[in-house]
This record gives sequence, C-alpha cells and structure tokens, in this order.
Amino acid sequence: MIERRKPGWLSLLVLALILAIAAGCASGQNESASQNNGGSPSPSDRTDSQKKTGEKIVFWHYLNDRHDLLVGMANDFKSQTGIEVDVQLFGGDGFKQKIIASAQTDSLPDLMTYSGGAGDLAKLIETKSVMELGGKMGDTFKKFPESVVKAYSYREGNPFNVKDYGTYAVPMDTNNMQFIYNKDLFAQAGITEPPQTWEQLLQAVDKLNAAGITPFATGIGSWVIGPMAAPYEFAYLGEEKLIRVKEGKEPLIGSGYENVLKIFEDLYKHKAFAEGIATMDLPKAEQMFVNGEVAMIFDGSWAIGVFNQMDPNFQHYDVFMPPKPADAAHEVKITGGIGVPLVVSQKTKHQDAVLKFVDYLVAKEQQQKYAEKSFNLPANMEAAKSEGEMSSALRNFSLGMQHVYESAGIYPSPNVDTAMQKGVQLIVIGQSTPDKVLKQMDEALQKALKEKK
Amino acid sequence: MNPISLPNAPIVKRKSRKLACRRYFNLLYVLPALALFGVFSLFPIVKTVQYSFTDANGINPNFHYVGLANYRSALTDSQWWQAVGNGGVFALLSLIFMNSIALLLSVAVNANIRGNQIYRVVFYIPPILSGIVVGYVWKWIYDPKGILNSFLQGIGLGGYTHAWIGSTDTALYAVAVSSMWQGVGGSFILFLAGLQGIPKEWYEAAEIDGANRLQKLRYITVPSLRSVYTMVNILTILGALGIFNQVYAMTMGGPGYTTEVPALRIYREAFTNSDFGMSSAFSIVFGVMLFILSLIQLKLSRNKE
Repeated sequence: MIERRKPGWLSLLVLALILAIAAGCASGQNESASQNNGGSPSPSDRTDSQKKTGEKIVFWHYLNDRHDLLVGMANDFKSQTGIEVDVQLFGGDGFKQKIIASAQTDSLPDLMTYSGGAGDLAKLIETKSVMELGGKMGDTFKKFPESVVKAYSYREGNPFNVKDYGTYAVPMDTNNMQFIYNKDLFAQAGITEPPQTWEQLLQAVDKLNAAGITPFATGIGSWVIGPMAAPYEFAYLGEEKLIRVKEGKEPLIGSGYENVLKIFEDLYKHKAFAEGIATMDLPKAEQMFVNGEVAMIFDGSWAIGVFNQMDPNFQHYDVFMPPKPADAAHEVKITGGIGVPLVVSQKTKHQDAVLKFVDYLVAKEQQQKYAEKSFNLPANMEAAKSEGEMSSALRNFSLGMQHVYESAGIYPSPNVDTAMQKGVQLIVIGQSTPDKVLKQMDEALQKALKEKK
Repeated sequence: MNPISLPNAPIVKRKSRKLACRRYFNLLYVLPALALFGVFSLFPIVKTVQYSFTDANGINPNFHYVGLANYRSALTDSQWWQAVGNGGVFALLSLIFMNSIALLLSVAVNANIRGNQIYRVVFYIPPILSGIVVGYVWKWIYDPKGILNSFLQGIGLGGYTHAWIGSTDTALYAVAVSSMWQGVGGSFILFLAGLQGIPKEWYEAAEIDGANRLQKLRYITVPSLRSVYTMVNILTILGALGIFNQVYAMTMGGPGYTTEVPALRIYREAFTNSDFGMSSAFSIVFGVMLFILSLIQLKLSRNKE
C-alpha cells in the first residue's frame, strides 16, 4: 500500500506542475493582450501611436560607461513615441564574438552597436545579416562629416569585395587616437610645451626620466600597437605606397617600413616605457595615467570619459598629435572615425521603430546630451559645433578629426598584423629589433600572398 | 504456481515477446541522453572536421572546400609548434610540481591531521573558481607594483622584483604557477580518493613487520595508486595543454609568442582572423595529438601493471 502511494503523490505533483505552467502561460497571454489593447474600447478606434504602444525593440551595446545614459534616452524615447527599447549591455572584449555567434544563428537584435572594422562588417553584409541604411536614412547621414560616413560605406571596387553597395552604419559618436600628457608632470620635468616633432618627444622622455617620472604607457599587450604605428606608416610611406605595400604590390622590405618599427625601438632606447609594458592592456595604462604614475599615454578620445570615471578630479591633462619625425617625408595621419557605429539587423520586424530610434539618438539634442555626459565627440556636426564648454583635451581631439585617415590598406591576412604586434611587444623590451620583426612580417605576408594565389 | 513446474509453450512465447518489447521500450529512456550527445558532442565534431577542409569564415554559411590546404598550413606553421611547445612546458611543470604537491597534500590530509576536513575544502576551492578570475587575480599579484614585488621588497629582496608576466624569461613560468595553483586541488581530490581505497590492514601489517613511514609510502601507497596516477597524469596533460583562460587574462600569449598556447591560437584564428577553416584544422590536429598522448599514457600504464 505504502509503495503504491508514492507514485500517486508523484503523479499529483507532476500534474500540479503542468497546471502551474499552463496557468502561467495563460496569464502571460492575458497580460500581453491587455497591454496591446491599452485600455482602448475597440481595436478599430486605435490611433497610429496607440498601435505602437507595446512595440518593443532590442538594442545591444558594449558601452559600460554609457549604459545608464542610453537607458535614459530609451525611456525618453518611449515617453515620446510609445515604443519600448530594451537596452542590453554586453560589456567586455567578447562583444564582437557575440555578434558573430548571433549572426550565425539568425538571432541578431533589432539594433546593435558594432564592434569591429569595415572588413568585419563586410562579412555580415555578405550574409545579408545587416540592413543598408543609406537609402532609408539619406537625410540623417547629412548630419555627419562625409569622412565619417565613408567608414562603413561600400562602393564599387571596395577592398572587402562587398557587392551590395551602400552605407551600413550610423555613427553615434566619433573618435581618434593621439598622445595625452599630464600637464603637472610635464611642468615638474621642466617641459613647457607638448612635443611638436618626434625628436622633441624623445627629449621630453629624457627630461621626464631625469626628473624620476616614468614617461609613457599604453596597451602594448593588446590592440593599441596598430593605431600607434599608423601615423608613422603614413609619415614614412605615404598613403599610396602604404596601401600598395600592404596589398603586396610593392615589397615590404626596403619600403621604409623599418622606420615605423624604429619609433618603438627609439622609445625603448630612451627608457620611455613603464615596467611590464609588453603585456600591459589599455585599462591598466589608463589607471596608471590617472594615478600620475606615467606622464604620457597613447589613447583614444573616449579616454576622457574613462579618466572622468576613474577620478573626476583628474583634469590637468591635454592632447597632442603624434609628432612627425624629421626624416619622414609625408604628413602624419591618425586612426579614428566612427566611435560607435549603429547597425540594424536585416531581419528586424520593427524596421520603422528601429530607424526612428536611431534618428532620435543622433538628433542634435541627444547628441549634445551624449557628449556632455560621456565626454565623447558627437557625430552630429551641429551638436559638435554648438559645444561651448569643451575642455582643451576634448577640443584637441575634435580638431584631430581633420587628420583622420580614410584607409590605411589591409594585408591579405591578419597574421601580418599579428606578426607586427608580437614583434613590437619584443622590441619594447629590447628582445627583438625592427629588422627581425620586418622579416617576420614579410614571411607572414609572403605566405598569405602565396595562399591567396 | 510451483516454482519448478515448466509453463506451457504459448505462455513462454508471450512472456519472452513481452520482455523483448519491454527491453526495446526501455531503450526509449536512453533516447534523450543520446539526442543530447548527438547534438552537443557528435554534431560539433563532425562540423569541425567538415570546416577544417573549407575556407569558412564563421558567418557566411556558404564556403568553398580547399582540400588539405588548411592542414598543410597548420602543420608548417612555426608559431603553432611553438605554442604546442609552450603547452608541453605547462604539462611537464604540472606533472612534476603540481602532482607532487597534490600527492603530498593528500597523504598529509589522509593521515588524519588536525583540521583535515577544512583542508579538503580549502584545497578544492581554486579548481571551482573561474579560470578568467584566477588569471586576473594572478595578474594583479604579478603586477610590477603588485603583492609579490611588494612582499619581496618588504623582506629585503628588492633586487629580485621583476615584471613577472611582462618579461620573456619569466612570463611562461609565471602563468604556469597560476595554472598549477588552480589545478592542484583537482589532483589532490583524486589522490585522496585513491588513498582512501587502500586497505588499512596493509599498513598495520607493515607496521608489525617494522616498516617506517617512508617504506610504507614507497611499498604500499605509491604502488597502490598506480591506476590513479594514470588517470591524474592524463587529466593533467590534457588540462595543461588545453590551457586558455589564464593565458587570455594574463598575457594574451605575449610578450611576443612567449606564452602562446594552442587554444589561444585556435581562438585567434576563429574570432580575430575570422578563419574558421584554419581554426578547425588546428583543432583537429590538436585533438589528434591529445588523443595519441592519452593512448600512449594508457598503454604505458597497462604495460607496467
């Protein structure tokens, strides 16, 4: 008898569980239905805006420092339009991988900030995962500088072989990367002006060392090497030659590229680097800069917001362009462009609502608010021009936008960039030389060219 | 019914049919597990093998077959073999130091020392932590201004302070120490389980025969743990060669290729270079290597037995 009662209780329990789940589902349906009705007497009486009540779009982003700001904007947008925006933060380095995985499984959100270059986005265009926006938002794009819009525009003959020509990202902000220096530490070392030439930079390094101040730190252990080398790639090779060399149409060895690598060797020889530089990431370098442990950092315009988050009282710093070496024949150009590109999923079921929200985010008022709260350069030109209370550092970053390059060319394989990054990590600790690294880069390039053939 | 009386033929037939039906019906219970295994284990392996012969970029479902090109490229890649070598160093250090420490700890805890229950828990905390978290904690310890250097300075050994993970001569060993710190608890638990399986009478008999502690360890404990050693060694080699989290969090393979490991290379090919074909080829090569290593280890231990 007792043995029989056990399955009986079990059955009752299972039945109760099933009923509970069924009841839960049913009530969910009722709730959503009541939301959709919005208390209106009959469906035919609904106005357009009432119809949108309950419409919900999903927005993924990786901006840890701007999540609250974006949620606030989404709430304002909802109160104006009735469209709900579910703002979801996925901070950290894995955002790009999350987008790739979601594209593979057809589960991209309606709207997302994109983390990656034009080449990465091209792969999503190839699979028709993202929407062409140039045709649908022509007026919106007039608000941005042309060079910024071009960053994610694909035309005939584009290097990424995108066939569906058009513009695929709306810029939420712009950025560029330059040197930032601590004014107090410079003054302490007797340096009155930021360096204008590479030789002056090395002199400043010597003076800082003599004053017992560590001169420089940046994210050599992560991705910063490329953007830091880029101004010198342009200065020594010039744009045309640089692109031809990267495409393998001109030999890398003998191109003058070794001079680019020598800037890292110069800094090593002048003892510019902070201890542990070879594996240092950018957040660590930023923390050291804010703590006053180093006098200079190579960083992006977003760093102003990062510094403010780390220590709101730390304000005594300014920005200077990567200084040109005396033996370089061409102008220095810097890495920059769209800071945060907004990309729309091709498969969104709420196209109008999503485009409306994008328009809202890049409107003058929102862009001003965005710049003010996040210390990032607004993409909307009207908002950028109207900023009266801009700090000197932000203004210099803003001026730097005139020197941003459009394209620095691409190697046939990312392994060439990896060879350079790994090589520079060894140059900065005196374990390798520019010649050796150049040879390794050339080996990777030749291998890639051979495989391409 | 009399238990020894034989039932008539139709009843036997009906019963055996019923039994067979029941057996087949029971197989249905295994179906969910089989389905999960098929979808989450078998299918990814098959897809990885397929991708390894293609130029798949991980996003576009359309790809081209490139024959053995990825394998040719993988097997002739000097950086890959350096990464495998680094994994080998991790494995060797773990086999020698981590497992020796784990064995000594388990022997000590098994000897009923005071507070042995607490030690069991404490030693097993590191393995249950996230590898990424462990990596970041150790990165902080190794920082030029971190705990380790501060400690060295504090005890008057300031001359030995170092950029532990930023220098080519120490980075690999620094990462290995963090990995061993996390792994020692796993080996410890296995050794402890093995030790608890050794009959106490053997030790009592040895004591009567006048054996000392060292002799008991040499002639009873160590030989009795042979099968546990095999398992621990295989797990240690597989774990050390497959290290990823600590390297990703601490050095990203740097400086240069000093701490590059196979799993990091596979990750970079897939997610930085968007070359899933190449990444899959590296995965297959690596998987086969680990499989062969495990087989050799098993064969050797069987021969000894």
